[in-house]
Amino acid sequence: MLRNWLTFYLQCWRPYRYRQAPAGLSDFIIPTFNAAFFVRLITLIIVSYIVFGIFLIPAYIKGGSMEPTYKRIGVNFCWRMRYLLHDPQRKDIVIIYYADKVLLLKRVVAFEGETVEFRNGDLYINGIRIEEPYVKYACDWNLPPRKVKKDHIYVVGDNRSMPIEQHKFGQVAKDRIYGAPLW
Amino acid sequence: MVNKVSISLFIKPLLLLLAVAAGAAVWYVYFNKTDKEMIKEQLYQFRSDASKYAGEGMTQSVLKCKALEKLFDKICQVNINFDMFSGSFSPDEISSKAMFCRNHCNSAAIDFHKIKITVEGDNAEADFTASLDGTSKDGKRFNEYRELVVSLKKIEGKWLIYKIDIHPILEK
Repeated sequence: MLRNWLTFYLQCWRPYRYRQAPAGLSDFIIPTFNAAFFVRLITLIIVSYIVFGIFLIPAYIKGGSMEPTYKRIGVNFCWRMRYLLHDPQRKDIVIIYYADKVLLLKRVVAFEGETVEFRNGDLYINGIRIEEPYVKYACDWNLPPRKVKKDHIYVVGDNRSMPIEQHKFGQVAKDRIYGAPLW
Repeated sequence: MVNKVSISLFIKPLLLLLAVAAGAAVWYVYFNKTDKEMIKEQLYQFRSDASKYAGEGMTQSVLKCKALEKLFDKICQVNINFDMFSGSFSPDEISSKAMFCRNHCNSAAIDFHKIKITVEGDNAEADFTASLDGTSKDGKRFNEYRELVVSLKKIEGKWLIYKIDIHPILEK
């Protein structure tokens, strides 16, 4: 029984040229709505749902907080498995779950227990200045030192040309890390 | 003949058994709710009563604010980075503050996402993301997200809110 089903399923995926019916371009564009077609369609739906609903979440980038690393408008995928086995490293780009259907693309700069500070646009972690080659635009931010809470990470965008009040950044719970961008 | 008689003998008790089983299933689904389900229901009730949808009249507003009172303990501690709404309040005061907020906006839809509930005896904590989406009286649109930690305790079989911590998702 199972073997018959498997044979039938595999036959559904045979290329057109091996099938009995002559195949042409019209057969490809307007497929025959037979059992094989529906088996392929259902398989495609299930696989797409698993891949794009669980592992690779399509994301539309809107906003320039990560410029110039990521353009103001773009498309990417969130790779959910990126931090399954390990925590993000400093300077990694992570995707944060902000709210339903709202994700934030940010860079990790500090971890729990560390002190974060901005002095004239430069980032200081535990009082030591951090080199940030990815920050291309001029920045004049000043932020007094603050300690990152337990089970939190500190994230900032690469584009710090706007006033500090207008930029969404700060410490966020680690369990809000949703994944990493695919590219 | 024998077979017919024996079948008819079994049918009635079988039907009775099925009816009892169906009744038990209905009772289990509707009345035997777990604490987590009850808390979720309370939160959804809170969401529904606190939201103001476009076109809601004054009477409905008053009724919803009054219904809010039933969800809170005698004193509820609210911690938010906004003096006017921070402090310890009675259900009555919470209701009047909700009314005050309602009067300042045309619509304000509250929604909760990713609710995590932990229950320890008669105490529980619900951790979730709340979104507030609406328009103010002067036509300005707002769309805010906050992280909420709601503490509840079970009093006479009902989960009542006694503490609400509201803080931004990203804390500078």
